[in-house]
Amino acid sequence: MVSKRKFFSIATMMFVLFFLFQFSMVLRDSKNTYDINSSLTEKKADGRNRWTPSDNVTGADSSVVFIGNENGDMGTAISRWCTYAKRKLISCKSVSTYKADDKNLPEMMILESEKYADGDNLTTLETLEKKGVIIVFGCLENAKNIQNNKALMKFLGIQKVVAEETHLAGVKLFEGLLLGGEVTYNTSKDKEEKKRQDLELDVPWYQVGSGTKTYMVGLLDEKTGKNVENEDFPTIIWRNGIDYGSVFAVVGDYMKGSTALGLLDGMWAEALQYTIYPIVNAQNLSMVNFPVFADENNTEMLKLYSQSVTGIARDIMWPALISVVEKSDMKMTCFIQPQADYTDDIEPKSGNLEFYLKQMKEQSAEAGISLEYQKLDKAEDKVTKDTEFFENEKINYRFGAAFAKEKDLKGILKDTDSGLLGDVGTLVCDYTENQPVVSYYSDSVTLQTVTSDGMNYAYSDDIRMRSIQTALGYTNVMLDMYDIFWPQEKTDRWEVMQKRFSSNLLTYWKNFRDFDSTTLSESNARIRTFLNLAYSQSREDNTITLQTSEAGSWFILRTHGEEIDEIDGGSQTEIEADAYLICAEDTTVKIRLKEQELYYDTRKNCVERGKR
Amino acid sequence: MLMSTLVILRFTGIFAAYTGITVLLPEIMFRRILKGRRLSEQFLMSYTFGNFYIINIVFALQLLHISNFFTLTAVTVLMSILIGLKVNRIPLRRKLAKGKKIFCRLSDGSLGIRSAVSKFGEWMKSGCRYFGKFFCRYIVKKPIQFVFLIFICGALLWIYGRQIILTYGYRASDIPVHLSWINQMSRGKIFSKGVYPFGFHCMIYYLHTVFGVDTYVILCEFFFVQVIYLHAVLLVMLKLLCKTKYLPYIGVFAYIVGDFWSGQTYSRFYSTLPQEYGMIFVIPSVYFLIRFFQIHKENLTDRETRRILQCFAMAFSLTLAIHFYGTMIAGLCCIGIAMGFCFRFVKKEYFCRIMVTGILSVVLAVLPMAIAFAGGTPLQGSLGWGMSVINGSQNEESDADNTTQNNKVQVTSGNGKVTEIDVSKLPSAKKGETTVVVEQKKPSLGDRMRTVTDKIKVISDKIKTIPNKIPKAVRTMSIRIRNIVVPVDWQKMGTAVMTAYAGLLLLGLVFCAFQKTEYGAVLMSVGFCMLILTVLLCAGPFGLPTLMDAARCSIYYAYLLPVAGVLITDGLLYLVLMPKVLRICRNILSLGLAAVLLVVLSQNDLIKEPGFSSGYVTNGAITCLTNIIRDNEDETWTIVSANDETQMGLDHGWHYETITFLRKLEHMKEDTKVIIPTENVYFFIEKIPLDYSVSYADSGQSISKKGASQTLPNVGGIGMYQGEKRWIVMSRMYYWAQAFMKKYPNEMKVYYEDDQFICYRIPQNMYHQYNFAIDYGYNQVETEEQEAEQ
Repeated sequence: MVSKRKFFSIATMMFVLFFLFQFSMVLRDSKNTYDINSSLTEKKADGRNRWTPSDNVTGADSSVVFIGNENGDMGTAISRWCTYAKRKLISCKSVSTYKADDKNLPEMMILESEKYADGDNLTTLETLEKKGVIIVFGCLENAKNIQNNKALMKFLGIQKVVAEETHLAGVKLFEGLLLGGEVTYNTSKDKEEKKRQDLELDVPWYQVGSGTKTYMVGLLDEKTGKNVENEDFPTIIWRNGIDYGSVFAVVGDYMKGSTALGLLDGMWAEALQYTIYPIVNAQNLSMVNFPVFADENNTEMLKLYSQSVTGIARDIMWPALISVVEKSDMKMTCFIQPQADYTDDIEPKSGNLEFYLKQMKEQSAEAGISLEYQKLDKAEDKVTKDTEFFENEKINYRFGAAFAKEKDLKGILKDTDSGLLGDVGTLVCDYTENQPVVSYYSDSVTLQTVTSDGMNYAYSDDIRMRSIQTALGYTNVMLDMYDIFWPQEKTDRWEVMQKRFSSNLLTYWKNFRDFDSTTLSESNARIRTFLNLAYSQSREDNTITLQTSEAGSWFILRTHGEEIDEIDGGSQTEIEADAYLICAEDTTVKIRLKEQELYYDTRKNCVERGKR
Repeated sequence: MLMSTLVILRFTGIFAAYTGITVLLPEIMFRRILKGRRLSEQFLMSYTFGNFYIINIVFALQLLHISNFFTLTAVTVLMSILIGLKVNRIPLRRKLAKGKKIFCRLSDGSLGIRSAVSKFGEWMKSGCRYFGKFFCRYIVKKPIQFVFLIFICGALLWIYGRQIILTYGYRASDIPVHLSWINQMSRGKIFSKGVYPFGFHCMIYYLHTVFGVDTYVILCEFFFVQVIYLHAVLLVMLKLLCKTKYLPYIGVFAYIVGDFWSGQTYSRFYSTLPQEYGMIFVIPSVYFLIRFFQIHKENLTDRETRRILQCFAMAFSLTLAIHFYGTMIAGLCCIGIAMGFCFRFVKKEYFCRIMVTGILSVVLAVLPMAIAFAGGTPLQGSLGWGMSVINGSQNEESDADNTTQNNKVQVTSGNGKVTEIDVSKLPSAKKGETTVVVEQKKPSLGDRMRTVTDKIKVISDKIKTIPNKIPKAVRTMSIRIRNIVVPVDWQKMGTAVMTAYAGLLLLGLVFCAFQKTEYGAVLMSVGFCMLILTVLLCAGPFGLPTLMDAARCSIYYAYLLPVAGVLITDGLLYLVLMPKVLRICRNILSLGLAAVLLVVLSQNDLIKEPGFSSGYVTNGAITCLTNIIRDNEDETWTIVSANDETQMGLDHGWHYETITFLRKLEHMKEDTKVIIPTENVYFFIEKIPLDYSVSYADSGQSISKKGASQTLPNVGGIGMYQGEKRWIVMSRMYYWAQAFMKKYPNEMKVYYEDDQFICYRIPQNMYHQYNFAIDYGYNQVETEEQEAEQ
């Protein structure tokens, strides 16, 4: 028998336990300001202030000369890089048309191809190189021409053209040029891995000589490469050092897209004692068309998952996504798709939105709006019907980001002035080379293109991702859920996609965790700062002085063995060896580099160490 | 951290480790036997045993090929415990039972932690009390001696100790060879280059393996440990032999600081070399032999006699196990002591014992070498030379070099006419081809008899002339002492020294007459020892076999000369103030003499000021090597330098010869590759090249384009790194580095630079390494066309 006294004690204890558990939950729920978008910043038409070469802050001589077709792929990529690197671009059709001015020499000259370096042009290039201009051969196209031109071979540091074309088993990118460390893109025997190999594998075989430094080599298959020493493997990207100057050469199309951005910054860093350049510093994860609220395609979903569409999204996909996001330390931006088919009678369910917004708040995620749809009677209906849905949900959440296909961007822009899209300050579109990675789409709206598809990730995507990370400290990984809810192929299943997505995200992005995770609205603010800023830098002994027009801007400092000792006016994080992430908290940042000292030293009044 | 701080810390560690295993460990092991003896004797016995013990452990384990940190430590510890228990008569079972009981009490809680701590506290307290007593007994109660000791330590630090802080490198060209042999021991190969007295190497190897100090560090700093012990044994022997208190200190002090000693008598003390290490054990050999002869006949069967003989055997065997020269000197001193104590030496009881001990000590030293030799290891070059000296063949050769009389052979022609020809004038003989085929007539019995008679006649003539030759010989000795050992302005210095020896003999006889036989015999022994050593010093001029060149002999001679000086002064004081009651006066007088000598030394600028430099390694190179070892993981770096770092960094990284590097670049083709497959490559370049013991007209000049434009030296061995050739090599290397830096300005960095030395570092991508073969302006690069033309 339980005595009354004991019964009372047990009951009290149970009540206390119940209270303790429930109290925290109730408190958390009541404090969750889920209908406020805390990532959102006020929309401003600051695109007018974006940096242009005429701002001339980086000095009169900070120019880059491009020799080739300025409207071609490489020309476009270099033009974008110049905008990001805050350098003036001078485009010329040939070397001879460029009028060299000794007082105002360019910092870098990029040749679209080696054909621009024939005859007297080569002499001009040699002269410029001796004067300290970094020469970049963007693409070595014709091995035969190079082989026949000994002077050019010497200038490029090519010892021998082993073959005009050879087939590679993969490529290896060494650390130093791009951030993220060494990586090998070798064609694996594994079927899934084999699908990733999309690099250019038929290339000329250049064997480089002494005085060169190799950044990327081709890998030969086991039979061909058996008797070939590593140093003799086909070289793809290298630098030839001549009298403290640098000549870079690239084999293949790496400079004909966004991949060029990081490569050029890497070349800059390799050629100079140190470099400091602005970046965005934003790592985004875009969940496109998720969550959904209409039980469309329910028959198919019930067949595949034994659950309704909204049930799958809420009970299966959402927990899995949270798990991946927590492991990857990234912030999500979920682009809500209230419904896909606006012509059917299936309307979005009410009640789920609040749940998702609360969950997102707890995960520091942001809700955006997806402007994608499957069927629609009139284009305007989409925004109208979605507005209706949100009004019915009685939620005043202000959407700062919207997703649309690149082809639909122009049509959407007019809707961003008022209504549901009135607060949208940034548009996100799928990966395209037609648009810059980050840019102003209008004076008040920025455009952030997706840099990688989290599901289908090939080797070229990885090089591009590393390159963009190097140049901008930016990534925008997209996971489009449309195919899950509207499956076309066997692989359009959540379990398959989740596996691929999580493995890609946790593998390829792990080296970039020092960059900040942001939602797209946060990223939008940083992009505006980045695109508007002008900066200059100088070095005196071991102190680098950085001056920027925008406080709160981010930079990368790359050195060669030098470490940061102290920083004033900002903060720093070491990303990897010789690469530092700098936050300019003030408009003037002073970075003091450590003096090269030995642990055990004898010298008290030794020769001036700084002037070695 | 300053390099000098590191050097001091390292030296302190090495000194503590060496003292711990050679002095303190035996002191603990033999505390029952040592108890009641004078501290000086305790020290001599412990130190001799300690060195003997460690060296032989290493020998045994090396010959069994099981030598490593664990075996060395285990054997040392276990043997020490066993010997300690046995000697100190500690019942092992009872000790174990006691330990078990304490453990059980601790585990079952009957002995609380507080009680255990209090017991430990008591034990600590008793330890402190012991050290307190020791301090009181030897320092507080003997303040004057303590002050003298401080003076001696200060002098050692000033004259020798400063060297380790000012010059980090080694100071003898043969140290890399010893380093290489010791490194080979770490790889299980004792006697890697042939059988050689390896006692010194065993000790260094032990310190390296057990205490983890790099061998090159020990070889750079151990010399000061040697110097300290070299002077310590001299001091303690003098203290044991003298009748006065303070003269030994002043004798040793004068030996350390005196500027009157010839440079070569102490210059080798700045290097960690086997000869100087072996020299330490000459004094213990001498002392223990004297000590043996001081034992009365009736006490010869005592355990004490056995212990003294054992110590003598160990000390003598150590001289042989470490270096032959030490053995020669110790052997000659033994003869001198036998002469001094001839009245006992000739007695059967003494003679048999000392001969058996002597043979045993030789066997002890030779045994490891004999085992290795029997195992097929050939004799090392210098050992072969030593053997030839012992066999006399070397002297015959030298005699042959000096005279031509042996080159004349009688040739019988066809008609029976005998003619004498000088074979040394034949072309074949000049080329060193010794096969001159001549038929020599075999002497008949009558001829042989005639020859013998002639020889006897010659010898008897020589003996007759001896009395006439003695003054001349004494004069030669005096001159030689003054010229080689004590080159002072005073012309009669040599004569004074010789007079002192005579005085020692005379004084010894006087003491014998006064019934102070043992003390008198000691004085005579020292006198005879010094006279024998003087004969060794003058072997060349006397036409005797030159067992040891005069320069080396002078090192030992100068070392033992203070013994003679101190003992004759001591003898004179003792003679004047012999009665026991006058002991205090004697000591006061000796103190007065010490003070006078101090004043004389300081007032007359007789304190030496040694130079500090290493002509073989720059401080920068040692600093860089130390940092490279610290900064990098083992086996991930290579140093390209002029040869010495090969052995220095053997346990940690790789080495590439500068000359090999330059030779590969000398006639470069377009496809020439020089690849060094490590993560980091360091280039050591001397901006002011060292001479490496070969000076030339422009010694000390800086590297220059002029040097780089000279032809690359094409000599073998170390030759290309000596004198002017080193200047050319370094100049070439410097301009290569400048040219390479132009190609890789951000990769190739200056790692260290001072006025004399520069070190470059280049990190490498291990998958795709740099080709160091470049056209640096002073090498020849052949193009494809030139190659085709050829």
